[in-house]
Amino acid sequence: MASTVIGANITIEGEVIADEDVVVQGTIRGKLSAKDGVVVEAGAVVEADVSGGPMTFAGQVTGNVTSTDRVELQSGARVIGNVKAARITIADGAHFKGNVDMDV
Amino acid sequence: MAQAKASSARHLPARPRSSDPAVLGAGVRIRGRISGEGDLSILGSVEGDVVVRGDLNVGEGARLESEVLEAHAVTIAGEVNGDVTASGPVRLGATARVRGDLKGTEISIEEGAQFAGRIEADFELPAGLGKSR
Amino acid sequence: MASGGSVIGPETRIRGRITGSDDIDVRGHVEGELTIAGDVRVDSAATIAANVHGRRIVVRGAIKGDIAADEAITLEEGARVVGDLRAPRVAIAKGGLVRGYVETGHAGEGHRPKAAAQTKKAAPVHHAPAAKHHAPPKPAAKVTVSKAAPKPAASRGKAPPPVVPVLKKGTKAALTKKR
Repeated sequence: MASTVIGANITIEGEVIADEDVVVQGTIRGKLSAKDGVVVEAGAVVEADVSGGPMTFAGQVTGNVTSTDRVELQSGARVIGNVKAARITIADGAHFKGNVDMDV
Repeated sequence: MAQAKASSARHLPARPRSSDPAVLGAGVRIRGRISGEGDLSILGSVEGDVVVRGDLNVGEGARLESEVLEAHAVTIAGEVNGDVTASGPVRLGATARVRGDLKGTEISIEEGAQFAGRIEADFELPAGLGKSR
Repeated sequence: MASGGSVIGPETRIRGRITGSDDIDVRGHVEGELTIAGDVRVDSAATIAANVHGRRIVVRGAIKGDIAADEAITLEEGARVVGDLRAPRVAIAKGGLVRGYVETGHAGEGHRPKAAAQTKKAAPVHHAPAAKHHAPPKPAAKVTVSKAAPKPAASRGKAPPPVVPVLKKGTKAALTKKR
C-alpha cells in the first residue's frame, strides 16, 4: 500500500525524503530517498539519485540507485545510472546503462 | 442601552435596560459616536465610533463606518468600514461586506462574505515551521 | 482521493518546488513552493512552509506562507495559517486560525499574472494593499510634483486606478515647498 503518490501531472524539483512507500507517476528532479519501497511507474520520469528499500521501475530513472533490498527493471523501463543492490532483475525489454554493484 | 449623540436619534429611551438590545432601525441614519453598556443592533446607517460593552449586530443592509468599533461579540451581515475590536467572537455572514482589521477571540467568515483586512488570531505555529512573522 | 490525484504521505518531507495540475492531498511536510492548477487539501497534521497556489484550497493544517486560490480558500477547524489569503471566496470556520491579510474578490495570482488589479465587482475592496502585492507602485519620488493628485497611471503600468493610497491632499505640494 503506497503512502505517497506523486501523480502523473505533478512535478517535484527538489528533495523527497519519505519514511514510507513512494509511488512516482509524474516527475521528480533532484533527490528521492525512501525508507521503504519505491515504484516508478510507466510514464514517470525520475532524474535523481534514488535510495530506498525494494524498488520497481517501469518508467525512466536517470541517476544512481541504491537499494537495501532488490531492484527490478520491468519491460519498458529506462534506467541510466549505477545500481547498488543486493538483488537485481532486468526484464526483457528494459533498457539499462550503468554499473551494477551487488556487493552490498 | 446605547446613547447616541446625534440629531436623528432623539427617540431612543434614556434609561438603559441591559436585557433589551438597542435597535437602530433600518430607516435611522446617525452621524456621531455611540456608546453603551448593553447590546446594540444596527439596521440603519451609522457614521461614527461605536463602543458598547455588549454584543454588536450589524444587520444585512446596514452600513457602519467608524474609526473605533468595540464590542463583546460582533456579528456582521451588512457593510462595515473600519477596524473591529471584539472581546468576544467576530462573525461575518455571507452577506457581509467588511473593510478593516478584525480582532477577537474567534474570527469566522462565511463563504460569500466580502472582506479586505487583517486578521490577527493569537496562536503559535507548530515547531517545525519556525518563528511566525 | 480522486484517481489521478497525488498524496504527500504523513511521513514524507519535500523540500523544493511542487507544480502540476493534479489535485493534491498534503499530509506531510512541504517546504518551498506549491503551485497546483487543481484542488489542494492540507490535512490536519500537515505542515507547509511555502506559498500555496491552487484552484480550491482547503486547510486543516499549518501553513507559513501566503495562500492564493483561483476559486476559494476554506480554513477549517484546526487550520493555523500565518500569511495572507487571497481568493474570490474565503471562508473561515470556527476554529480556523489565521494571522495575516485576507482579501476576497480577486483570483489568486500565480498562473495568471495579468489578473493584476482590474477585477472590481462592486466589492468595497481596499486597493492599496492589493496594489502593494501585485505590482509595487513606483515610489512617488519619481513623479514630478506638478502632477499632484489623480493622474498616477501613466508611469505605473498596471497599478489600479484612482485610489492614491496614503497621501493627503496637499502633502506633495507641502513637501516640495519645504525644499
